[in-house]
Amino acid sequence: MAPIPEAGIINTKQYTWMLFVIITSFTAIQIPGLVIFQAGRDAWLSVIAAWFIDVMLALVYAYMGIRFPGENPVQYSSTILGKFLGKVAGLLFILFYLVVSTILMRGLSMQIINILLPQTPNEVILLGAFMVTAYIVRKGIEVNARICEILGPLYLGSIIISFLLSLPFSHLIRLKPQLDQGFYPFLSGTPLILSFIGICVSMGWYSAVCNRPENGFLAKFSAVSMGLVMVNILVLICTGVFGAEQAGNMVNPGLQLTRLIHISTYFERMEVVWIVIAIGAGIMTAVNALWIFSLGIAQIVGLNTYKPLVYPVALIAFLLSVTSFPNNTVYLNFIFYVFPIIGILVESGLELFLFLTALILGKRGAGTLGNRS
Amino acid sequence: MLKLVIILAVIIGFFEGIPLAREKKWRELMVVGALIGIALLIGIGKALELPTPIGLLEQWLRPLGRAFFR
Repeated sequence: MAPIPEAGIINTKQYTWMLFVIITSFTAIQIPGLVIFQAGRDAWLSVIAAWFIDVMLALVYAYMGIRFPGENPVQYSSTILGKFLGKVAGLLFILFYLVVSTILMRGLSMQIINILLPQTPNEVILLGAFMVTAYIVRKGIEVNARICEILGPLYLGSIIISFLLSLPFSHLIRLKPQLDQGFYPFLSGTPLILSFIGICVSMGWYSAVCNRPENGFLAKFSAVSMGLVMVNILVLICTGVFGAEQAGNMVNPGLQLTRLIHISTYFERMEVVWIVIAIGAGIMTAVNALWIFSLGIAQIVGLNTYKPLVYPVALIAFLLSVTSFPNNTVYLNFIFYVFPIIGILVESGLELFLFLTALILGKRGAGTLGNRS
Repeated sequence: MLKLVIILAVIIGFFEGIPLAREKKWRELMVVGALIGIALLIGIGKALELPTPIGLLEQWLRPLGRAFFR
């Protein structure tokens, strides 16, 4: 397998913040409403169950990162399955990330139009967002990692402050009774949220460029735990403030929560601060998705660099975002009914298939597990 | 929309294609051309009101999703 066409190296701290940003931004903006819609008052149990399954999945990805040192999932697919089938499996992984960047940006543009720029056409917002995204992707993984290292703590801080300020509006009585419709609502909510937090399987790509790949599991565990604690508190407070019926019908209950916040009469409309940071984190998630797609194409075709592919790839993602969803209802139906199935098949199904095949056939990577600097 | 796609494709083609041609990186140039071609096909497909790849995915998988989620 050809060497990875990415010269940049990231450290474990950057690895953790990158995963935190992508998990939280992809999950926190719209997904709490969908999980509450599916699982009702038991939505917080779905988040806990999804966290447990995701940590188990992280063990598999971390093990594969150690069994195939310096190789990302696109590369070890070919090592395990052979040239042709391996490239097909690699293509499935990276196409999934193209879909992720497409729906994420479409969701962000929907939020920006609803909240900040109601008269602006969708195409203008998406074009601007994809230009910024492509510019950052072209700068390489190190620039991406440094931005996430700054943005991650800011995002975490903004979420914690929002929670603390909105806590007085929450009433515990709205979370009762629990499990009143049996186990099905929370069990069916679990794969829904798992498919969204599962995009952190991008750890397979970060491990290949991390200076200490053996810390992959620790980084993922820290990031997914921090991210899901935030998402779960968001779900609990939204249910406590609005009730399960109302929160489940909101497109973005987290935003509605921040709209309630005010400090005396001095600070009002605090949601703008939160949404600006959330949009920044969303753009960084799209950056990571497009980086994986561009890098994957370069590896499958056998190029020495992925950078010339970034703008054409961003153009494809922009067109898919604009043309695939004629209105917000079509978009929301897609992320509720279709994306979870694609997510579970690729993030869990495909990786477990590769893991079992590698064990049965006794395949191992040729590289050694050494620290990179 | 199609005009915007063509303009963007030409700009990206020049911006990425000329340096690659100068450095004689023909394989990279071919991949860039193929990706721009895919983008143009999506734009043309939209102009002809053909279903998009994500629209096709939705048609295939939505019945399964509706059976599982509420």
